[in-house]
Amino acid sequence: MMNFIIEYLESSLKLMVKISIYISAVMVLTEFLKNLKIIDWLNTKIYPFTKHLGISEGANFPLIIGYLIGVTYGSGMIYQSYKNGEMNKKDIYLVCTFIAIAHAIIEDTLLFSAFGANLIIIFGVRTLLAIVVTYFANKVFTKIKAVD
Amino acid sequence: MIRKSLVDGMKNSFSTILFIAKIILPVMFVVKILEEINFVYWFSNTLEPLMSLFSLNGDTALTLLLGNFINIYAAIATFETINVTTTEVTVIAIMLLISHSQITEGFVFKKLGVSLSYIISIRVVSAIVVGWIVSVIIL
Repeated sequence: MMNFIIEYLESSLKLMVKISIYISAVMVLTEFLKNLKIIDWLNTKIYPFTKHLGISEGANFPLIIGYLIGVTYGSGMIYQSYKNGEMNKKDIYLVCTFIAIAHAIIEDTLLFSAFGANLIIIFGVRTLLAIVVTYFANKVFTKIKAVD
Repeated sequence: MIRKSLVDGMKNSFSTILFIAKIILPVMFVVKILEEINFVYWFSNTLEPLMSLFSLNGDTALTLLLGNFINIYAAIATFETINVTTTEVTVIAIMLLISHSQITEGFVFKKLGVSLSYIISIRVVSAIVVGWIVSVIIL
């Protein structure tokens, strides 16, 4: 029992340290990218594609962070964007749908390729699926006005 | 500009870390208990026959269950004891990567205001459908 608690404390402390470092790095980097207008520039490049998923411009960056780095970090970005009013409820649903299926794409893909999985298949299928599911989720949400 | 970015970035990270800690810490505790009591072993036997649907060895049911209830690392650990070919790993990887850590990640999404049943069912259903399609093609 004591062991269990110590193990839990140790692993959660380690994880929180890791998360804190990552989050601080991502958040500070984001501020730099914002102030240097790089995010605006990135948005003009990516938005022509992501707008077909039904998301607004402010949702682009959280989507990319979640897709590349992971759910935890993506959720942090979504939380910030929503607080700043850059995302609405539907954006949250759509971005979450996308990253629920495809996230931490770099780390996850490499992890399984170490066990012999086909890198291109696991990367491609997951990304394609995320796009397709989010596309249709948007169609459904718009039709039934489930999330507004 | 540099100062402003640093200050704003740190300010944002503080509230974000707090937001994440409030979800992760209690949920990790529950997941840890599930791991400790070998929760998934209780019904991995029942799911074993279903794995033939994906042309997979019955033992991989345990891999998928551990991945979904605990995390990807717990799932991967089973590769040590289960014999799987690299094509089988590809199918398992796809299913696992689409649908894993449902408890931890589910509560993160829930905290953002997304319905838990929506997000879990989307992941589980697409993992099953896509896993089946890929297994038919490559196995």
